[in-house]
Amino acid sequence: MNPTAILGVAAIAQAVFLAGLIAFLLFRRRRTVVRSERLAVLLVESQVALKGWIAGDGVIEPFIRSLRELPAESALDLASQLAASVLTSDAREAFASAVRDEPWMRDILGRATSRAWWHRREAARALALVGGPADRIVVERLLGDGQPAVAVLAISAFPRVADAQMIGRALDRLPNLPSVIRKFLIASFQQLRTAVEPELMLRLTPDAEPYALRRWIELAGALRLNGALDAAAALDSHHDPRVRRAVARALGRRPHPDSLAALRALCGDPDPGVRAAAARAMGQLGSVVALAPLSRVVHDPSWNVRYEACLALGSLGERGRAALGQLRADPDRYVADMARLISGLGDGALLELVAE
Amino acid sequence: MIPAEWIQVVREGLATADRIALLYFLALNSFYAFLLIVSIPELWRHWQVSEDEVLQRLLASDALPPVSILVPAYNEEVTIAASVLSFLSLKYPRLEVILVNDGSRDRTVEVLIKEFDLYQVPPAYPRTIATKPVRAVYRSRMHSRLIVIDKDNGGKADSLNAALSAARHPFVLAVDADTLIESDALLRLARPFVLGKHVAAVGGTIRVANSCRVEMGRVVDARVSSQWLAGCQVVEYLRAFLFGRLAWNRLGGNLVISGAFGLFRRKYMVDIGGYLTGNVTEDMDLAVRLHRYLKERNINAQMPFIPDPVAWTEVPSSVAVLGRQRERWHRGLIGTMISHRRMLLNPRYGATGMIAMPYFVFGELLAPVVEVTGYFLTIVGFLIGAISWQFGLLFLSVAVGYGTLLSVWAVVLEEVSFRKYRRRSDTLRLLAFAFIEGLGFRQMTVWFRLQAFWKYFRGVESWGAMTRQGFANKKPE
Repeated sequence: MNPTAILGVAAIAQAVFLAGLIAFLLFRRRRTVVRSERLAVLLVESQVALKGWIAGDGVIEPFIRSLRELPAESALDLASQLAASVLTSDAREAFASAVRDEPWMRDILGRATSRAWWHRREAARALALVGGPADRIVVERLLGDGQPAVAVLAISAFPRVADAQMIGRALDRLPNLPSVIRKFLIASFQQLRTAVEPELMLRLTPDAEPYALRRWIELAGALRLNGALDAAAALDSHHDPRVRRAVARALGRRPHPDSLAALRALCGDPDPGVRAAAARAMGQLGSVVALAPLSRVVHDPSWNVRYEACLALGSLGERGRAALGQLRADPDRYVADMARLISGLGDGALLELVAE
Repeated sequence: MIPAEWIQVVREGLATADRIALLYFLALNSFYAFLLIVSIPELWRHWQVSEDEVLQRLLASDALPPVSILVPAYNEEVTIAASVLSFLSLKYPRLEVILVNDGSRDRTVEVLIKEFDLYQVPPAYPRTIATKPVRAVYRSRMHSRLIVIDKDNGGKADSLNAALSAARHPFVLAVDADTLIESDALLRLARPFVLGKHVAAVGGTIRVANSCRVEMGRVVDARVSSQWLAGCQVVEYLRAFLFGRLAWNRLGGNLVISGAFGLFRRKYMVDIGGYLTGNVTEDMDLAVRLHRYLKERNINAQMPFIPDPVAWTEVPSSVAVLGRQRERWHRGLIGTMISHRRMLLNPRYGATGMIAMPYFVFGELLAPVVEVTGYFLTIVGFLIGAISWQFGLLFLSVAVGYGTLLSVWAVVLEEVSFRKYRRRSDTLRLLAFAFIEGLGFRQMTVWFRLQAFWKYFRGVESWGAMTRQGFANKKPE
């Protein structure tokens, strides 16, 4: 073939491909419009049936029938939205038992072992709606899914299915999870506080791995579990500064006279990160008893400790603000600068910083 | 008289050179087609995650890492208050905005002091990167998350470095003061940090805001401009972002994280000394240095591009401004490639050295030279009878047609995925501009890019004036 012939073939192939792309584009746009119009009609019918169930006769059957008419993914979308916004917990359970054996729901639940992660993600979402003790193995497998999007959604199903052993295994896995998945798991533990606390206390021992220990202390603080926080407070002289930092942060969530004493001691810690965390935690406790120790901590050589101490003073109401005002005239230039920085903030701005 | 053998030699030489140019076009455009095919599973993956509302809701939690937004500003008194408000009101749980006034000659600082009730504070942060002298640092009594740094004029890179020094958070987002960021774009941009592996930087999509309706610093109605210059750039941006950069995710990472909208891990930025002042495309230079830094230290961190976080920018609507912009971009590319030439075809730098750098040198940097040579030789060869008119016409139509095909493909990808343009008239406009772009617009930009070689080797370092019309509550055309 000579170059002109090659070019001719290339030009014809281009033209055919181009025409095909444009035809596809126009056809697809038309099909999308038709489908979305049809879906809108079906969704309106479902909404009417939903109203009938929630605000009318209390019969769920028409609503379940209307979901059958929808594509499985749209039915799941609607069901997830309802569960998150409209339904009470009783209604959610009634809905879960009514849809669990629907063909579309069985189809979606069957996707938990799919090779396509977006199918597994749909299964995880469905399990968050209708999962039960029989699904423990599936949920646990999805929690360890390589695709984080699946794992995050599987965590939503966790409170529905978890028992003590499963909680224990999740606690052991927690320290090594990526930070976002860890935070979601911690949030899901809120619904299982009573079951989590004994398992957690078993792990809050000085000989535990420091990396894991600080994550568990973080969990105790996030769930405000008093027993676990007492166990965490006992670790305030742990050899690893990361653990002591975690203890300081957790103590800020335990309003108790002992907490203030422990935090005051941690303000003298050799690690500046621990001192900064302790200063912030004293502010979080909100007690004016912290005024005196904080007024001393603002003279710390570390910028970050001074910053946290001034911020904590600012959050202690009128008396804290007055203390900050006095510090603006402190002979130590660094203390005076920091006091000026924080005391210039309005109340709203200060709250924003404290809440960070 | 020129001997007949000489004329024959010239004819054969022309024909051979023309075929080499043809092979170059075919190879380059085939590589583009390869990029496009590679980008499809990437697009599908991101689209699946981005469309999941439940997942989006979950990801909008306080699990997200805190972010410092770095905003360099120069003579922005008219739009600065609205821009800062739009950054402060982004949907993101923990962020701070660090605005750097780069020695503006207008009232930028005065406007900020008045609008945000600023008060001067001591510059209480370590200067990790040297910059022009800082005149003053301000905080807002109303918004704890706003910090304003007023400094001597030193250029955009210098301003970004000043902001980088003052940033407290582990991730920084570099934006232009006139960039319009979609309210949930930062949440989406942070997704790879949250869900992915170790990530050094993430780039988002830039789209063309000309002709869109803008209210309170947000695009509320996306339109395709009817003006040909802006319209061609809409298609061009779609092609570059929707499949060009997505494909590079799979081929070793992007060499460009847009300076108008890119999220970076602060530690690595500081380690490489921040932005390089004096470079006219500081974003590309930064991305290449970051790749180099990661490879030389064996840090296994990715620099992906994700398509769904969107920032809107105004593109040039006059040929003169477009010319200056494209010449500057190409001059920056030449400078960056020359500065980092030791990475080229160097296996030590993995896919960046073996695939991305060669592509940018041979497929981007030299493309205008080869393209103009190809057009020239085809016309001369045709005139002296060295090549047939059929070959000449087919050559031009295939060269132009390939580009058009890729542009239409990009429009199709947009249509089947994010569909920012909902009206049918906009889709038809996109298709029309996909054709127009190959018949004049591209050739024009080739000329601008050629000028960059001349300016680069003359040592020109200026940016050139970039006049814009602004967005203030713009109505669609």
